[in-house]
Amino acid sequence: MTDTISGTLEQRRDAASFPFGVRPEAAAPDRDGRGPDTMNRLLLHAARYHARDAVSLRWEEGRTEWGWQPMPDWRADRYTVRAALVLRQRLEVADGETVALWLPLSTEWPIVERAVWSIGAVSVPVWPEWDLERVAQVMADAQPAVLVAPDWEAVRQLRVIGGLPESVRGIVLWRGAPDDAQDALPFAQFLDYGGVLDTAERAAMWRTLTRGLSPDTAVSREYTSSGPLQWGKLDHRMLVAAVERMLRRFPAHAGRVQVLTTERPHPTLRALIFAGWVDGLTRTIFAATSEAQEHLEAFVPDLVVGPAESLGSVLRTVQAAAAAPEPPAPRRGLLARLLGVRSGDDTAPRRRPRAPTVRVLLTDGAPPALDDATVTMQFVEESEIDVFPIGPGMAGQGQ
Amino acid sequence: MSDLLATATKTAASLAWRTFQSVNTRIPDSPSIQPTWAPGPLPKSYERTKPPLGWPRETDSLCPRCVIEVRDAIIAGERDISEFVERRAGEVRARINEEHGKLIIRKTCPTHGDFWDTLSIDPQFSALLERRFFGRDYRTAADAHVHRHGTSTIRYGRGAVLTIDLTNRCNMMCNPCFMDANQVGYVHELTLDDIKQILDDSISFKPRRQMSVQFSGGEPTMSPHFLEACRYAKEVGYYTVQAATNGLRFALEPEFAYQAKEAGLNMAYFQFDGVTNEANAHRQISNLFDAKWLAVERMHDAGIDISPVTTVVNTINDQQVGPILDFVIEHSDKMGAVSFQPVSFTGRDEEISDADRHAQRYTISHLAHAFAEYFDGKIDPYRDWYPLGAMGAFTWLADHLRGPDIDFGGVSCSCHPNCGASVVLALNSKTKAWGPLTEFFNVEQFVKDINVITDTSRGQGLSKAQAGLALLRNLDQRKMPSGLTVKKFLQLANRKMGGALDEKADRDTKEWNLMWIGGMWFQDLWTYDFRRTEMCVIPYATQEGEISFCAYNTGAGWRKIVENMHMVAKTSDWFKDKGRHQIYAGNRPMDLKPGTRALPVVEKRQLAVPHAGTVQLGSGCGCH
Repeated sequence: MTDTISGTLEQRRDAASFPFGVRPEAAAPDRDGRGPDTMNRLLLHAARYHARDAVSLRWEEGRTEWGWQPMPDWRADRYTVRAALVLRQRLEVADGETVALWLPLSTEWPIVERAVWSIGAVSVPVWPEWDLERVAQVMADAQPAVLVAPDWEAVRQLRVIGGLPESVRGIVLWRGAPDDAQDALPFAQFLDYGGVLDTAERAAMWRTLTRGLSPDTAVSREYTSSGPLQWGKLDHRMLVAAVERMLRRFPAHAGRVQVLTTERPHPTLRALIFAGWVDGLTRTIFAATSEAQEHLEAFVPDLVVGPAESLGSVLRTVQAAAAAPEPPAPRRGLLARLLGVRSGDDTAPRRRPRAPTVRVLLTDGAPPALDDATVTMQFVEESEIDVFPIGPGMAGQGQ
Repeated sequence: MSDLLATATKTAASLAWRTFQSVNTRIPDSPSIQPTWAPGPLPKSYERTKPPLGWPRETDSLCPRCVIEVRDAIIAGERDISEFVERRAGEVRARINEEHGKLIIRKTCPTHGDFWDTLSIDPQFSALLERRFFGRDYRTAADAHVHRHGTSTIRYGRGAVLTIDLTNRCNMMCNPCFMDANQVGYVHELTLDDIKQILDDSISFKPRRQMSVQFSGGEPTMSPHFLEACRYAKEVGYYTVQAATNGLRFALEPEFAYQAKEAGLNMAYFQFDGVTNEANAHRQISNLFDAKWLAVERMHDAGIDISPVTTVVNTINDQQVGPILDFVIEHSDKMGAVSFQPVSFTGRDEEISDADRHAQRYTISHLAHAFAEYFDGKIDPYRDWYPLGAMGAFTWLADHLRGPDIDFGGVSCSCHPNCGASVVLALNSKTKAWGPLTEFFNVEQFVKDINVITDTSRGQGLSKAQAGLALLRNLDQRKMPSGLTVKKFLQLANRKMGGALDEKADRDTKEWNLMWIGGMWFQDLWTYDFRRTEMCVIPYATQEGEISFCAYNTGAGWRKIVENMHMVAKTSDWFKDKGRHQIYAGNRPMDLKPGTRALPVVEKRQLAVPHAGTVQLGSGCGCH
């Protein structure tokens, strides 16, 4: 497969369904020339063609100040390579083995998940809201080789109830690293360790391995949240189709922003995140609901995803911000220009108001009456993305 | 007709300049502004200092034998580091004088006897360079936590290139090379926190100027923190980030150049020994030139500037300098500068015999005459060569025009005139038409005009107007290369000063460029001059503060001391724990997979979030 694409950047920006509509040479035969047929191939291409400053943002304390920490495409890509190299070379995760991802939806989630299925392994999302017994059930059924856990306390509690299967060869902690966690790898070290492995030769090996996987290779096992334990298989073909539908449902444009205010790793949301990675234009913002109202004013997002019960006030804030008039540009007189005098606000960024067009509410219930542009996750799941239905009625392949 | 118009423009500008100055120079000078980045008001021309120049003169130097003995004893733990910091170990006085048509440095050690070496084969050329020196930058202030290396301490200015060795690991096996972990037996590699601390420290004192941050090594792309380091350098506020690289990773990994560009890498300072695989054979890879050219194309596609750098050794590759410059001009769409570094005998070469050293010695004056010969006088040693510090005049003007309320001053390459010199070519990357800037622009007079503008200090509007007149009155349009117009020249000058003349003007005109051709002559134990060290513009930023390039690599040899102090593992332990990296050697070819790309990477833009804006500042020197 060639690595070249055609068209100018402007053409690509205008192509709502990128990458499926504008890259015939990148197409796989079984997709009728419409584009890559595995997530690995899709993302390998997409990471190289983008026009944004960050693929995702999160609010946190930086080294010198509080602020939005950007995750640029290059970093997301390198971290993926590094995580994958650690999984394959240090933890020796083999094709078809499972990796349990027990962490909230965050900037790190798509990196780790992509690293897992890029080497032919299968991710097992473990939702943070599940109780320990459910987690133990899933762990016993999935028999993961590696567990990415939220923190050491969670691992300890799981051990106490006998929920940590012997199949687990390695534990990666998303947060913290207590002294007694000798068999666990803190997340920073996980990536740093991978950085040492990340030589040009190993990166090339990873790409070769990644490109070679079949569209039928499993991406994840999606377990039911409650009731009898069931799971459904999500493979590359299905996820690519989901991403494509997301791109068509929520067309990309330069400066597009989508905000996620939930930590629930719902497969639809993950497809939405990867669609944002792929389109090369979208910035995905991970913001806790409690912080969202404060920060969303700065972004005026196109898409907001979150629990219905807490999202109403956030959306009203966003609407108000979008409706506010743009502050006038400061004026400079002839003398000021001649003498080079600048007003204090001359270089301040001026916000470009943009009305949000679509909001997605993550709920199974009736949406609150905000406006016609509001759609529910139920709508998205049932009408737009029917490739991986989740729930008791799904076609489970597990026990 | 066009000649008439050109003469009329020049005459009118000159008349306007003189008319204005007839009034301006009769009014007392206005006080200079004091920018927030500077330790004091911008100095007037008569306030700037210079080191002792001319000859005969005496200076402080090193005994080539004593230094090695003391350094080895320190590394062995037999003597204290304070030998270098406080006790001036190995220092002797040296005398510089003209002898038999050459400039010679002589010194005598009470223990090891006499030493001498050649500084120039053309004293007239060297005198001209010293005469054109613009003056030192500020004396540094509140920098005791960064500059604390005894007589090797940098005392003036901020420097132009902040060099940071990310790792001593390398994916090549050049011989000799004392940087590589495989050969020295230990790994010295900075953590990300080390890198951030070093960069934070670099802006913690005044003058706080823009610099090019150069990540080096070893091979810097071997560091797991290379990309993050590029990003953090930009975050700190530097606008130019470069890597001294062999380019292999860029050749092997198609995406890497794009990721590096996005992370903030602007330029590759590119090891470049010749234009064929055979000319690179000593590097132990049979298709090394092919690999390097693939890297060049990938970096160019990604928007990374490339500046090849060649070490020149007399009788070894001195005949290559002309062809290499020809090659760079031919590929000026990809390469915007080229640096020639006359050999500095260091590392294993410290043991070189006197006869070999005298035979292989190459100086800036050799380089100037080699170009004059190769290009049939089109590059003139006496008209076109200026010390690196001469370009500081443009920086001072830009600093003056930008006013007091900016965070960083412009890049000031105010090194000692014996450290290096350069020629600037105006060059069309499409038609390849070129000519030395000094052929059609009177730089010497322009620098004098700048002194008048900055000394009188009449505010930004009037200063810009005077700068425009000075540019026009010193420009001889009739001698400009074919296709270069006055408008394009003014755009080039504005770009050179980072937009100080007109912030809104288009600075991205790629067709015409000012190509910097530098000769950078690092010191070695035989040519060492502490007056050069204290004005160093290429500080090495380490866990032990910032050390002059020459003090770090060639003089006292701080590199070995710092690396031994901060080594992270023995090489064998590192390999055992973290795995062995691929090394390309043994005269085997690399497995290259050429590919092409159609789309450029998009420049990083300001986030639409309330972050502080950044101001791009101009480069005064153009090197690096």
